[in-house]
Order: sequence, then structure tokens, then C-alpha cells
Amino acid sequence: MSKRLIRGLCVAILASVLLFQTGEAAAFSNRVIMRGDTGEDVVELQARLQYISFYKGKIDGSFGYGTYWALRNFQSQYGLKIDGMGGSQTKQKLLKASQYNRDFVNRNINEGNTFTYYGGIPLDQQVKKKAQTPSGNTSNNSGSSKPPQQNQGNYTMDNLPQGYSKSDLNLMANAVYGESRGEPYIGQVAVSAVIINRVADPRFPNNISDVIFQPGAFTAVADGQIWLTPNDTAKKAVMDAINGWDPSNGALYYFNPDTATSAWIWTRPQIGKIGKHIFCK
Amino acid sequence: MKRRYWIAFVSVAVLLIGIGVWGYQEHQMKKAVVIQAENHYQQAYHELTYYVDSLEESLGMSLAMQSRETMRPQLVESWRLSALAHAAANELPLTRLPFNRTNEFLAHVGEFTYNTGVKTTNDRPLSTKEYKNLQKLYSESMSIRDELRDVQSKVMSHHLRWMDVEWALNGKKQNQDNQVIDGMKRVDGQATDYTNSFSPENPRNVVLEKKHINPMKGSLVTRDQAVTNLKKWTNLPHAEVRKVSETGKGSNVPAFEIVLRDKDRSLNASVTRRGGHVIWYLFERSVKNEQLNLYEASRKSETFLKEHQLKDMVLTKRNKYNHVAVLTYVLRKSGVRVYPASMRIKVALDNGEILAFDQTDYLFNKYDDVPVKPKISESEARKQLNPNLKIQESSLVVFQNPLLKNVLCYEFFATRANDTYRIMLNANNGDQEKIELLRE
Repeated sequence: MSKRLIRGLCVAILASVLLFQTGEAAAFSNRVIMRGDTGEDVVELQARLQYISFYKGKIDGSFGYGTYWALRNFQSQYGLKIDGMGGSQTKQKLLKASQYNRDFVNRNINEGNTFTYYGGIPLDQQVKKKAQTPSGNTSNNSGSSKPPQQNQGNYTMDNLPQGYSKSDLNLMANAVYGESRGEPYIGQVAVSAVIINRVADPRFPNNISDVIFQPGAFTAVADGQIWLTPNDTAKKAVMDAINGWDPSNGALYYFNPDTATSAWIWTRPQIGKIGKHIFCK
Repeated sequence: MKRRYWIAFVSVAVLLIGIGVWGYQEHQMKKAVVIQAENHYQQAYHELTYYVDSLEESLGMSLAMQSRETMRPQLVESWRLSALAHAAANELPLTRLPFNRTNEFLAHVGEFTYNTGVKTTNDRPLSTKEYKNLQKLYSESMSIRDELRDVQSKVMSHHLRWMDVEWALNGKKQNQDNQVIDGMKRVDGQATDYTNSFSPENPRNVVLEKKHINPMKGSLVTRDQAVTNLKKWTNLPHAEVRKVSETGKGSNVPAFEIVLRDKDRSLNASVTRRGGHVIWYLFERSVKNEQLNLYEASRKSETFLKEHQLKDMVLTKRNKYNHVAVLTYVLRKSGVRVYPASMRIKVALDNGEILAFDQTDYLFNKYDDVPVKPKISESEARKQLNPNLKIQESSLVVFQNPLLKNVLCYEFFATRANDTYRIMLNANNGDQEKIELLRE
């Protein structure tokens, strides 16, 4: 039984070696990759760097800091320009120095297995099969049957600015949708920016959820509209705001002049009007 | 006949009793919810007064201590209490009441005690200035405590309810007789005096924030000039102008807000009134697919920077989401990265169009006067780092700390196992200004 396995493995390795000797150009695409990228080229980069023990992290197709340092160390040891980018020279050197078994890596990524790809260790010893989850899980996953392709969104990276979590983002999208779903896009970005400005201001709580749930702060929280399911527009608006765009120009409050009941809100110094909302300090 | 009458009567009676029972249950339920909410507010207020009480005591005790080392536990205690008090204050339904300045006071106590007691690593005694600030905070805490206690006793003796406060504040007649609101306004009046007398290095004091803003260069521009500048900047000479308005007196920098329309897409932007600088703009369109990768996007943004004569900018951060890339550039001045001088460019990954641009930080932050000569050497700074960290990269940078002060720092990128850290050590005294666990 194990003999057959080893024989099969030998064939596989031989085949992959042959493949690479004949068609090295068929490996990496000829695009330059850099930190922050995702996709199949990144998978190959990580696998190859792991093969020669520069990269010890997870092979997941997202080019984060771990991959970046591994690549820089590789570049410095191989006398290349140390820029942490996957340019053509770097890729050539990497192709020569390492091997890559595309089928093995892609299969394990698709099956969601925990695996490594170090050179010199039999591949079947580097895989820990994922525990079978209740069925139906894999059928939703459109990427499971075909190999992942670059730029198709199969590799997700939590590209959130430092200091924000996924749940902050969802909560903000809920609040923004509940508060301003009838407003133009730019108005929704402005409402998201107000939440962020409050977090930064010492007179308000210093985290997203406390700002949103502060009693009396948002009408959507008070009347329960915050629990509606937000659409993509609201989510996009939140992303633009946390990435730095502030159409409110530093506002801390906003109100709808047609429905505002509080007299006090009119006393705040105003900044500008977007859609139906007046934004103020 | 009589029987039919009776049936009708009984069924109406049953219906009425049913409605009555249902209504009563609803009423009871509502009462329970209101009581629960009221209790929550009461609890928050009592906690607030308790913590401010303890805070006053704690600040008073630190005043009696000599060296920073002996004072440290007390300062840390004050720091903890200020955070708890701040949390309790923010649970009260007072967003609509300018109770803000009590929060501001608590934030100041927090910043001050953190900076003097937690962050500083050396053991010199407090400077005269720091000691004075501490005294000021102490006397302030006493008056705030007294006012809070006063409101508390009124609430207790007159059976006042916080729910009424909430309703009163949301209603139009805000000036109606409500003792809680009056009391809270008095607390606020007290704190105003204090805010004005505090030194200008107040942390994140929005009242003073205008002073931190770099004055704009150039002369005042008209609406038309602003629009022309924007069209030139965005390279949309034929766009239709939808709206131009001026920002009100609440804005930190007077500006024009402009909406353009070009080929069924709208573009929003802000242009300063002095100098006509484009602060930011944002194109509205959806991006459905991805043709470019990050490197190609960064080429596009670099062309954009070149076209707009924005020189010496280095790419420091890249984010990719929803088929767009957001690239952050930072000014490099004589080899030093100046983080407060940053700008962001959003590139569509379908055709490489620049979708949005923002140079708020680059325009408004002050960074001209920062010295770029470090007082301690890099090897000295390195000694502060944990020996388990493997340093991958180091450089000199200017960093704006939470006190809005620009400080020259050594920036170290270091790894431990699979984690990457960014550590900023002050290049003048070795203090740790910031440590980040990078999650990209």
C-alpha cells in the first residue's frame, strides 16, 4: 500500500520536475506582484519561498508582511535588489532555486486543508486534512471545483485599515444604512465619517460600537432601523470613510432640518449640507 | 329577541374585557421596559459620580508624592478611573446636551496620567509644568464632583427620572424646567472655565484644533476659479457644474464644496477658498471587475502624482477591496518619512482611473518645523527593543503622536514568529511612541 503511494509520489515529483524544465515560462505570469496583492501568482511565490525555507507562514495567496520579509530575505541572499517585489529577475532566480507542484498546492487550498510545502519532506507528510464539515458547505463555495484564478476574488484578504475589525465595519454599515439609506452616496460617506470623527474626539466614546450605541446619538439606533440589512452602497461608503475620505469636512453632528426636533442642534456651527442632512461641529 | 340581545351584549363584553386584559399586559410590559432603561441610566450616573469621586481622591494623593516612581501606581489608578468614568458618562442620554466638556476633562485626565505615569520610562520627578497641570486637574475634579453630587441628590430627593431627561432633550422645548438638565448645564459651565485655562498642549482639544492647522498659502479665489482649478486637477474640462456652495463657520478651513457631472457620473470635491487647493475629490461609479493588479495600479497613481507636481512621495500603504486599490503616499524629506504629510489615491482596478484623491493631511498638518537630527543613535534605540524581535527594517520618520505633536522617531519593522510589528521609538529620548501589530 505505502509502496504504491511512494511510487505514485515519485512519478508526481518526476513529472513536476520535467514540467518545470520544459516550461518555466508557464509558471508565474509576467506581471509584477507586490505586498497587498492576492491571487495565484502569490500562491506560487509563497509556495516557492516555502520550498527553500524562507517563508514559514500559511500559503493562502495573500501577499502580506510575512511573505514580504521572506521575499526580501531571499533577494538579499541571492544578490538581488532588495525591494520586496516580485519582478522578473526575482522570479527567474526563484524559479531556478525552487520547485512548485501546482496541483498539490491548489488541491489543498481548494479543499481547505492545513498544509505546508517545504522542500525535502515528502508531500503527504505535510498535509493535515480538514475535518469534514456538514455537507452543503462546499457546494456554496464556487471556487472549490475549479482552480482559483487570479483576480477573481477567491483569495480574500482582510484589507482593513489598522484599528478596524470586520465587525466594526458591519456595525457601521448597519448604522449608515439605517440612518441615511435615502441619501446620495456622498452623504452616506459623510455619515460614516461623522462616526469616525466622533471616535477620534475626546468628548465622545473612543470606539465604534460605543459611539453608535451612545444613548440618543443616532435615531436609527433608537427606533431599531439599525437592524435592517445594509446594502452594498452603505458598505462601500463605510470603506471609503475608513480609508480616509471625509465629505463632512470634520463634522461631529448632522441632522435633517425637516424632522429635527431638538432646538439645541440648530445652535451648532454648521459646515455644509449634503442631500437632506446639515453637517455641523 | 331578548336572547339575541343578550348574546350580542355578552360578546361585546368579552371583547372589551379581552382588549382590557391585553392593554393592561402591554402597559405592564412597557412599564417594565421603561423601568429597566431608567435603572440602567441611574446606574450609569451613580457610577459616574463614584468614579469622579475616587478620581478626585486619587489625583489629590499623587500631588503629595515626590518621585515619578512612587507616583506611578497612583497615576495609573487615576488613568483607570478616568476611563471608567468616561465609559459611564457615555451611557447617559446626554449626547444632545453639551455635557461634552465633562467628557473632555476625563479625556484630559486620561491622556495626562497615561503620558506622565504609564508611557514615560525615566524616573525624573514631574516637571513644574506637569505638576501645575496635575494641580489644575485636581481642583477641576473637585468642582465637577461637587456639581455631579448636587445633581445626584436632587435626583434622589425629588424622584427625578432620566427617561424624562431624554424626552425633554429630544423635544422642541428644551428650556423647560428640568432640574437634571439645569444641573448638568452647570457642570458644563464649570468645565468651560477649566478648558480655557489649560495649557495649549491639551490633547486633541477640538476647541484649539484650528491652531494646529497649517495656514493655507495663496490668495482668496472666487467660485469660478475654484471650479476651474478642480476641472484642471481632475482633467475634466467639459464637466458640467451641478452645485457650488461655501462651507459654513463650523469648518476648520473655509472651502467650496463642488459637485461636477461628467458622463453620467458625479464627482464631489472640496476646494480651499484660500489658494484654491483641491482638498479631496471622490468619483461615484461602480467597478465590476479587475484587470489591473496592485503594481499596475501603483504605476497609475505615480503618474498622477507626477502630473500634479507632487514630488518626493513614497508609497507606504496599500489596501485592495471591492476591485479598487487605495494607495497611501507619504512625503520623504531629506531621507525622513514624514507621516503627517500623507495623501491617498483610489485607483479603479478595471481601467486604472483615479477614482478619488485626498490630501487633507498633507495640506493641513504642520510639519515644516520638525528637526530631522536625532539626539540618540539608532544602536542606542535598538537596545530598547525586545531581543526576541528580529529587526527587518529601520528608518527615521516623523510621527504625529496623540498629543498632535510631531516627533522624530526611529521606526523599526520587526518580526517574531509569523507576526510583524512596527515600533516607533522617540529619537530624542527613547520613549516608545507607538507599537503596532501589523495585520496586513
